[in-house]
Amino acid sequence: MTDRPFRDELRAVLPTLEPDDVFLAQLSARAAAGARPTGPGPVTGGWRVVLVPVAVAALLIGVAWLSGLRPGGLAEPSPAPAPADSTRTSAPGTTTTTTTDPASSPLRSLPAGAPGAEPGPRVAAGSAPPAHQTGASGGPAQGVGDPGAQGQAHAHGQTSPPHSAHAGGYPHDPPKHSPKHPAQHPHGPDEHAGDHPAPQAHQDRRRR
Amino acid sequence: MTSSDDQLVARAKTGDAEAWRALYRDHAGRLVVWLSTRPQADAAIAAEDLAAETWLTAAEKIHAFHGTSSEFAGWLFGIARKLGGNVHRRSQRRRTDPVDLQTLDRHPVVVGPEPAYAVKEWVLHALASLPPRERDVVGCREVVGLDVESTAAALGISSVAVRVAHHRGLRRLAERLPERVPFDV
Repeated sequence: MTDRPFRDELRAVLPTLEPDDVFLAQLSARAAAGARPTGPGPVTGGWRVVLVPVAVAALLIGVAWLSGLRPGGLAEPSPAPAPADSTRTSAPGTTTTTTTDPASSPLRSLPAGAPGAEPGPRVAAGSAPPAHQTGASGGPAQGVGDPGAQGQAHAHGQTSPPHSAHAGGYPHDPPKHSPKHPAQHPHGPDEHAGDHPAPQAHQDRRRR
Repeated sequence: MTSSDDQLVARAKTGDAEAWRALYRDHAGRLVVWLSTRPQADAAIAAEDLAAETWLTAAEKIHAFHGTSSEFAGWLFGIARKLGGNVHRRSQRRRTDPVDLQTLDRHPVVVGPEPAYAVKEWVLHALASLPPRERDVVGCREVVGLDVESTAAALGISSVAVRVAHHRGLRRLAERLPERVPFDV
């Protein structure tokens, strides 16, 4: 491959260097300092073992809490209530003036369990307390599924948007009342029984 | 490095000054020579500076090393290589402006010990023309006389890679052998 004299010429004359005493003392001190800390090692390791699960748990709790604050978070009910509301508002003969209700928007950001923010399924079934809170005098507070109370509350809400029966009662309703809703209704007639305000709304109109 | 410590390394780990003196005598000279064969990115940092920093780092990290005093050389050279890389990157970030030579003439010039063990200039010139890996391998194997295993440990590559780079580097140098005549004067 290559001639040996050529390789011998590459070889440098290696000197034997003597360390300075100060430098040698520094080397010894650093090596001795590195030898001592054998005890605190496991202590710091144990501290980390405790810290990591606590941090992870705190992170998960924080994420769960934040998602509970958001309207589209974990507290979001099943998509069934959305069609229920549109069914109610787009009944034949009713107006569609309550599509953008300003009073309902602040309540949408309330967490589940806060006053005025009820879970979706109960709201979809038609709850009376929201109608009373908003000043909608729709007769006595009925139980869940009472068609009379539900219809009156909704009729009053339509005529006075700031006191809408939706305010506080339907925190998760989408702000839309499509006129072509009946064609889009995907559920059977029994699913939202009692939600339709049509009979009561017709009575009010006749009174006017 | 899975082999057990020999007596010298074990004593060095306890901070024995005489053990460190022996290690320094064995390896400090060729460490400086090897560092001088590598291109210095920062002209303000000499091979001796980098060697001193290497020794201090080795004293701090000696407890992570397990092996004999001969294997200590490869580990030490590996530290020097990494520190050299740090210096190279630092010098790229902190570029300095050239200074007028007349300004430098005002400062006294102190002659260092480098000429006593300086590598021949043609060797430095020939090594500088090699690719980095071949230059490092030839520098370790031929210039300072490390064995294959220590060279592999120093450069962080396998023994096979050391042999391949060594062979290629020597072949390149042999091809340029006539060029060394002007530098050998």
